[in-house]
Amino acid sequence: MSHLLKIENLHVQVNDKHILKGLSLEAKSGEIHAIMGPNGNGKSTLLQTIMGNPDYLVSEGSITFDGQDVLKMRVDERSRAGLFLAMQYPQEIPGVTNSDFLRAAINARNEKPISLFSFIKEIDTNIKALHMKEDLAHRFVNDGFSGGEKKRNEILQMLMLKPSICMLDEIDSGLDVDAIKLVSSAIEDYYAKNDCLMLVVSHYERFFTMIKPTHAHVIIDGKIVAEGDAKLVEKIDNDGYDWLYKELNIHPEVEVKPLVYSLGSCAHNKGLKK
Amino acid sequence: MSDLLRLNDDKPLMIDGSLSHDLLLILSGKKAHIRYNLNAKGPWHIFIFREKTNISLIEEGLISTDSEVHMAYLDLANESFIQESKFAVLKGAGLDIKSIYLGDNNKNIIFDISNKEADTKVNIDNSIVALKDSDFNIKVIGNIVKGAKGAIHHQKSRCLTLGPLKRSLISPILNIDENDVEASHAMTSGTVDEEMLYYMNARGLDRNKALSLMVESYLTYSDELYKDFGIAENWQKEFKDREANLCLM
Ligand SMILES: Nc1ncnc2c1ncn2[C@@H]1O[C@H](COP(=O)(O)OP(=O)(O)OP(=O)(O)O)[C@@H](O)[C@H]1O
Ligand SMILES: [Mg+2]
Repeated sequence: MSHLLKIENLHVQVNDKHILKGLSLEAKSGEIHAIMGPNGNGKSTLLQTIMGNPDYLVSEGSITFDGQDVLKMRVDERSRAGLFLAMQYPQEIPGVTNSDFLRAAINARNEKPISLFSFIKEIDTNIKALHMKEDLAHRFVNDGFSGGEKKRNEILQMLMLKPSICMLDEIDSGLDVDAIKLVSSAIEDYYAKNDCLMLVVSHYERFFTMIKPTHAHVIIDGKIVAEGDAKLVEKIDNDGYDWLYKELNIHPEVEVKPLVYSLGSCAHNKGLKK
Repeated sequence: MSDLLRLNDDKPLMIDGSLSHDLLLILSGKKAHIRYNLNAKGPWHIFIFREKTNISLIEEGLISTDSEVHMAYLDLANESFIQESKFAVLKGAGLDIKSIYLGDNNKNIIFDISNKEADTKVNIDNSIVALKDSDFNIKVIGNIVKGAKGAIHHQKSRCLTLGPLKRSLISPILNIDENDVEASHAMTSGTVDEEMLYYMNARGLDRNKALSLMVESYLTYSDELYKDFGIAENWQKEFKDREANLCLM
């Protein structure tokens, strides 16, 4: 079965701030979509909205997955339907072990609970593939994990939950050189063996030479302003975003810092001490 | 397997014995007053389970020289609970206390445990899960009196609060009057915020499953506890069912 994700004219608000301003995108099984764009322009907002983060309010537009109205589904229903978001900042859950968490998550999507034996076998295989520490299964979810360990843990969850829409939000940031290779080969392997599509946010072309995108989109100011394939990724890596700003005649918002007149705190302190 | 004793009137109970025993005490009345004089060499296991009523439990006990006593308390009800447990541990004896309190409403719990003499060992482990409208007040007082050389006294509390609660307080108090001792208290507390819930939802767990997973994680050692205390299968099942029912929020 082939999957289809369709986003049409999506408008999203966060804390009364209009972030996504009419974004449309279509992706189907067998495709990897690179999503790029300067900081703070709505990449995470897009993925969080697809996943259903309650902070992100959809004011207009639609999201459908295989014809189902995603916006009508609760977050847990979206997950069980096959959506997965590897988050830019994974949450810590002190008190709940990774293995209890994953087992509960797997059981939530199957009629019959997974046997302890197959669970252990599967988690062990994946922990090894990602070169994670062996005690990981017994540690609390992301609690005290290093930045890179958290990112690997997101991919571990992806491999175990077998989603059909994999959304990866800067999964490569925080990973060391070797870890990026491991993680991207695990992702590639998953992609090759499963009927799935991927939306991948990253700032680095290097990552997209390992996970090869079939499509590329650039989001600026809440809209897709350029589309293409791996060549677009390469161009952005070489030239940055300036050419796009010029071409589209957009002026990036620059934060205007108020002018501060300082008396010089050191001298001030010295004066006080005496 | 443990013997079963149901307490449903207000008469005081005296547990006195030199033979080790496993005992499951069910509190079904309004008031329970229990005195202990335990002096068995082999370990005593006393498991106290509170049935669904508002109840106050008063306990006083002496753990005699060189004996070993394990106490467990299980409270899985939304009705209010008042408990005052006062134990004195004599030379060479050990007292191990494990407790689980899960529910909402008012719970007022005081443990007052003294290492009275030398070479005494006390270990207290509390797990508390406060649901919705709870008002929990749990005081764990440890006293190591002068002369109790080589005494060991450890307290550990874990507290999970779910939902907006009026008040939840665990106060560990250690009074130490002797130098040559080992004592500690540790406390962890947690809560489930919206972001945690979102993360768990995003992995396919609905609100109830996510919350019960959190609760279970705070009560992980319950299975082991039932085994150690020789709790019969049917009671274990009863406990699990009640736990699950309370978690349906
Ligand atoms: N929960 C939130 N509360 C307030 N503002 C938010 C929230 N989430 C996002 N924003 C704002 O929305 C805008 C878009 O943020 P978003 O996280 O989507 O950017 P991004 O493209 O993913 O950036 P980066 O490359 O830095 O990750 C930013 O201005 C950000 O400050
Ligand atoms: Mg982002």
